[in-house]
Amino acid sequence: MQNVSGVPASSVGTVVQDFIDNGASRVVVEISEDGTFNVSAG
Amino acid sequence: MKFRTFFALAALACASCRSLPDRRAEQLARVAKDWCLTIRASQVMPVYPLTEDLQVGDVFLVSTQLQDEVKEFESKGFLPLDNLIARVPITGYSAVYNGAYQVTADSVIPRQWQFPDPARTAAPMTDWGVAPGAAFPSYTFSVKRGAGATLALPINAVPVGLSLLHTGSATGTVEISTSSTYGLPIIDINPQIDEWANANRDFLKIYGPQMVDGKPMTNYVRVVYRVYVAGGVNVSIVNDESTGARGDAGASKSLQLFDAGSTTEAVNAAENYQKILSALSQSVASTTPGASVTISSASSRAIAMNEVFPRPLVIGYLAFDRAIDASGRLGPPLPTHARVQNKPIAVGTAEYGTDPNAQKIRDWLNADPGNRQKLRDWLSAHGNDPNSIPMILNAENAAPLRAEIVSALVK
Repeated sequence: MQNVSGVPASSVGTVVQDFIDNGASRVVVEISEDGTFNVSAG
Repeated sequence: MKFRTFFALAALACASCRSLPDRRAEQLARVAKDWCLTIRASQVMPVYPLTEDLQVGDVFLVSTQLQDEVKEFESKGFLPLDNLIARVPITGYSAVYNGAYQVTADSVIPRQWQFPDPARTAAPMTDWGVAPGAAFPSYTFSVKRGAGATLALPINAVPVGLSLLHTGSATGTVEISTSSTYGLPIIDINPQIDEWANANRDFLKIYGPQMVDGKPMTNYVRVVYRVYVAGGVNVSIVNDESTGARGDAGASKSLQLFDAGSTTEAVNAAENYQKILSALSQSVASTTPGASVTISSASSRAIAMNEVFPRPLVIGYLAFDRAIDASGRLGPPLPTHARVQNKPIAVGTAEYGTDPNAQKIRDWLNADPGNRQKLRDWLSAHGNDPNSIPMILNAENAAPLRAEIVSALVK
């Protein structure tokens, strides 16, 4: 499991693509209360 | 030659300038570190000072920067456990131990081993002997006159042995004679910590990520998921003083230790020896109430003792850390032992933070399909997890590593 927190909306796509390029089969994007996103894969 | 003598005298003078409390503090710190390194050699986090009051499910707040914690762990040998914020009652032992070690669905662990019902009136006072066993390597120490009587370990046998040998300078070995352990897998304990965290989110939110001196700082909770308990120690001490001069450590006892040369008949020798050991043990018991120390062998140069602690003490633990985010939620569990030793952790969480080097690396990876494998190989060769490329590209704290990668591979 790898998780990047505090990702701004404008960068979520890039972070998700980085996980996919690394071979992740499942990527989860969650919205935080502060308006940023948590992106995790594992 | 004169200069050499002068420098030697100057060095001696400087050494004597340091006060006795300073030297004593230094020696105690070294003894504590040596003890901790022995426990750490078994891949266990040491507890110092030893305590009975540490359990699986104890949650501590870690508000020290990782790099500072790494330094502290290296210099002292242990991490202070001073910010206990919760003791979460953990369940699930019966499934893990599957009926062994007298653990049933109704068991309250470790209470049933600490305080057996009905209460004992004679040794052993606890049922820790029923719990899963553990073993640790022996620990060697040396003590000098004055500073050594307090070994910074709650082991009465050491000052007692020094006293009986009439020495203030000795070398010894401590072997943990009876140790037990219990714990739960992280996958079983983690949901219970989540449940506690959800009920206390307002409290945890206070410790969300903060800026300290212009730098982002993440706080963690440290959750104990296994502890190691020692019930007693075997201590052997050898007198380092060739003169056998009397020392000032421990209780003073004017006892004649066994001298094989004065005994002529082998049968009588063995019998007399046992009588002397018994007399020594009784004498020690009469002067050190609370300590259960028995002498197992003795001579004029060395003594070996068995000590049983009044109540077993926790000597080490295993734990995992979880980052506290801005909303008071907890991140994935990270092994404490690996974190504080700066070892790469396959499971990871990080705050987002990028820079131009991240895009340079992405462009380089996309330029040639073989570059990803080159980067993985480079990461492995440099002690990093080869599967952590997305974290390296997007983690704020990976900026130095990104710069290294650009310098070494992308250029």
